[in-house]
This record gives sequence, structure tokens and C-alpha cells, in this order.
Amino acid sequence: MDKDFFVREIEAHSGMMYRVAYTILRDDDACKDALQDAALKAWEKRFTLREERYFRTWITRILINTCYDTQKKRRRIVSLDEIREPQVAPPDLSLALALQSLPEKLRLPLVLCYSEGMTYQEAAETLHLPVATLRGRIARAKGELRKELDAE
Amino acid sequence: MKRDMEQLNLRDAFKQEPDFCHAALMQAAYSVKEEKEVKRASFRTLIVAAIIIISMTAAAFAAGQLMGWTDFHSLFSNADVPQAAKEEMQVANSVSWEVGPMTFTATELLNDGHIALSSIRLATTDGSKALITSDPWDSVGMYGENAKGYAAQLGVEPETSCIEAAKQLNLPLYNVRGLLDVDPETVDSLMEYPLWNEDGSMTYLSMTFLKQIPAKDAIDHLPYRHIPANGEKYVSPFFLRVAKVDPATGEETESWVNRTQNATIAISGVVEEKTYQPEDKISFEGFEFQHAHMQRHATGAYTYLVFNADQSLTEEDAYNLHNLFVEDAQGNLLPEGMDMSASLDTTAWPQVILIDLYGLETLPESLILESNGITVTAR
Repeated sequence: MDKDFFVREIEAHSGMMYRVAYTILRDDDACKDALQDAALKAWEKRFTLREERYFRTWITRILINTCYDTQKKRRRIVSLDEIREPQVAPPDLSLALALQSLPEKLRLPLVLCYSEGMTYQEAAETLHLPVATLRGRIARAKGELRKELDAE
Repeated sequence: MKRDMEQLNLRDAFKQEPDFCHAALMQAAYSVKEEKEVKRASFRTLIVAAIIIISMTAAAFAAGQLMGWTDFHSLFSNADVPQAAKEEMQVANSVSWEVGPMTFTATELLNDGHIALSSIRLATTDGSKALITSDPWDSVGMYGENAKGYAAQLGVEPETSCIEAAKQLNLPLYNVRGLLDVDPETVDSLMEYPLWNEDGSMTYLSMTFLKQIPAKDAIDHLPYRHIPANGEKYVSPFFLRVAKVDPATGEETESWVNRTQNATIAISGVVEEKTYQPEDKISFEGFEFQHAHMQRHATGAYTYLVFNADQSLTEEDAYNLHNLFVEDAQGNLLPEGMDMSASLDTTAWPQVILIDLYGLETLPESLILESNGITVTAR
């Protein structure tokens, strides 16, 4: 993998990377840190990319691990001084709130498959889960999401 | 207002990537530096390297520098592997089997009635140099922390595929698989993953998730596997396969399979258990919490949270219980377990049981369940 390819692919997948990071971290400042770290780690590990066509799942796996590291470093409680001003709302706020109400174990597989278009196999490989486990989590997540949305 | 789930666009749950995030990401991407081209090792250097690798193999094995399940979890998950699990997994008196040109050696085995796992080391029997892989098209630099060093020892770039490396180095290439061949009737699902060891051998990891089987002496309809007493034996054959791959075509030219060797594993049963009663009568979205039951194995604490559903609910509503956070008395989330899974049992509806493994070394005095601002302590 050369640098040109790397930069091009990062640009092409930056939206996906942000959404996956936000799914885990739920904070834009934390996302910024995780995205930077993930890009640097990915370059360092570029030889682990099996084929260039697998870039998306490969970078997602690195990003998820980086998000967990970022999560551990950050404090759980944010002081009032650190709360950002209200940010731009997503197009479907109730969907966003319903999605965020899911536990991360369910939220992340759902986002990978139904926001980022991964197949169950790709998402299972990204999350290092058996496909059957992933299917179960997706089914649970959809049911839960339905319940949240029906309660509107 | 009811939504049509099939028409939902989950992208709409996200705002546009903030400019400052995008800028930070691209700044990092542009900042990377391409290294100077690595000088390929000379043929003589490769021969020397091969001799070193071969002579190091036995020493490395004896020194216990082999990858295993603890390494997998430190690389890929948030799971805590309890010390007792690390110790119980170790195979005290390693037994090896020859399958074709390879020797398989079980280094980790464990069955706690919920998961059956193995780590099996593979290396050439005669110590000759070969490339071992679980997929010939994988790059040499994949599979864990030692991959880069292994590629350097061979004298190839880490991103070189195993097939290409075998061609360049004129080495035999073997596609391998080594795992517990658990009775399919008892299998819920299976995961496999290889890791390189420092000496160029491979550790093949597998974890079988066993089906929940109600015990004859079930208590409160807990999906309690009839796990024999701690230390009783579980016997399962191994599935050991080697296939020689032609690097020119990628086709397997010869293969060997052994399914006759058995693993005998001392069941890692329940060593401690405790029932927790709630201090208050609390419902989480219509599911009234009855009690919690923890059964601690070496692998951690399998936790059964028992609820009764309100009559207005359906079994699908039980998925809401995944919203729950389970914490210790200090409000710390319980550590994730090494099976990386959680499940719901609704076979005795309206009773619902949420089952999860936590990487605990001891059982807590009390538990806190929390969801959407509702909390209850159980002790």
C-alpha cells in the first residue's frame, strides 16, 4: 500500500469512520482523537491489509480498537465547563436518540450492517465474533430499536 | 407513531462529520511517511536466517513463548481473562500428533460447559522450513504481534501474501486447521483465529459456543447446563488437517486429516455461586427484576438475571433488557467475559433470563442494575 492509496481511501471512508467512532464514543472531541490515532496506527500496520479491496473492514477494525483505547483514557464524567455548545442535529433526531439508547454491544453491529452496509460476514470478521452471535445481536438491536421508535 | 423498520435509513441517525474531525483525520493521513525501500535479504542471509529459526524453534517452544487466548483478547477485545482461566487452560503434559508433514500440539484446552476452547501449535515435524497459513492468500504480516518480525526473519515484506512468499523463497506452503471437533448437536456457534508465534510456528485458536441445555435439576428454570462436578472429564476428538498448496496455482495438491485423536479435558465447573435478591421491587420497561444468580467458573462469572414480563409485553420486548448495565457496589461496570457474548432465554415466558459472562475472579457482595436512570441493588 502506498501513501497515495492510503490517503485516498481514508478520505473516501472518513464519513464511515466518523459514524463508527461516534457510535462508540458519542462525543466529537473523543472522535477526533480516535480518528487521528486510528489513521496513524493503520499506516503503521499497513502490511496487515490482506488485499486493498478489504480496506474498509480493515480500517474499521483498527478504528474500533482505537476507540476502546480512547474510551479508557477519557474520564466518565464531563464537567459543566467542558460541555460543548449544542451541535447540529442529525436528520432524524428520534432515530438518533433511539440508536444511542441501545447498549454498545447491539448498537455497533447494527451500525456496521445497516448504516455502513457491511455484510454479516464482514461485520462478524470486523468485530471478531461468530456470525451466529452477530446475527443474534442484530436481531435484538432491531427489536429494541423498533420498541424505542414505536414509543414516540 | 409506528415506523416501517424496512424503510429506516440508519444514516439519518448521524449528523454530518464535523469539519474539525475530518481535518484532524486527514492531517494524520497526510502526515504518514513512506519508508525507504527495504533492501531484500541476500540468499545467503536467508539461509542463515532459516538455520536460526529452525534452531530457535525448540527453544522457543520450551520457553513457553507461544501465543494463546490471553494474547487474542489483549489484541482484539475488552475481555478480562481471569487468572484461574489462564492456569486451567494450560495443558500440563503436552501431547503431539503428526499429520502429514506437520506436528500438532495442544497447548491450551478448556471446557466450562458453556464454551470449549483450544489452542493448538503447528510446526513442521522435521523442523524444515515451510510457510504455514490458514488461508494461502493472507499476507505473511497478519495474525498478531509477531507477524512483522516473522516476515522480517523470512526476508519478505509483511504485506506479501503467503503464496507469493512461498514462490519467492521456494518454500513449501501448507494450509492448516486444528481445533476441537465438538459434536455438532451441542454446538451453537464457532470461532477460529490463527496467531504467529515468534519462532514462525502457528497457534490455531478455536472457541466453540455450546448450546444451552436445561438441567434435570434446574432451579427456577435456569438454563443451567448439566455440568458434571468440577474435574470430571469431557472427551472430544480433534480435527487436524494439513493441505499442501501449489504456490503457482493456489490449488491443494495433497492433504492429510486426522480426526482420531481425542482431547480429554477436565470440566471447569462451578466453584462458587450466589443468589442476589433485589432490595426494591423494580421493573425495567415492564420486566420485573426477580433475582440474579451468579455461577463462577475459572472463566469468570456466568450471570443469570431473572425477570418476569408484564402481560402486555411480547418476547421481542425482552431485547430491551440489553439496555441494562450491571455494576459492582462501587458503580464500576463488571468486566467483559472471554466469551464476548450475551444471550436471552425466553423458553419459560413470561420469565426471561439474561445470561452474560463477566471476567470476575471473585463474586461481588452486591450488584447494581441500571438502565435509563432506574437502578436497583441486589445482594
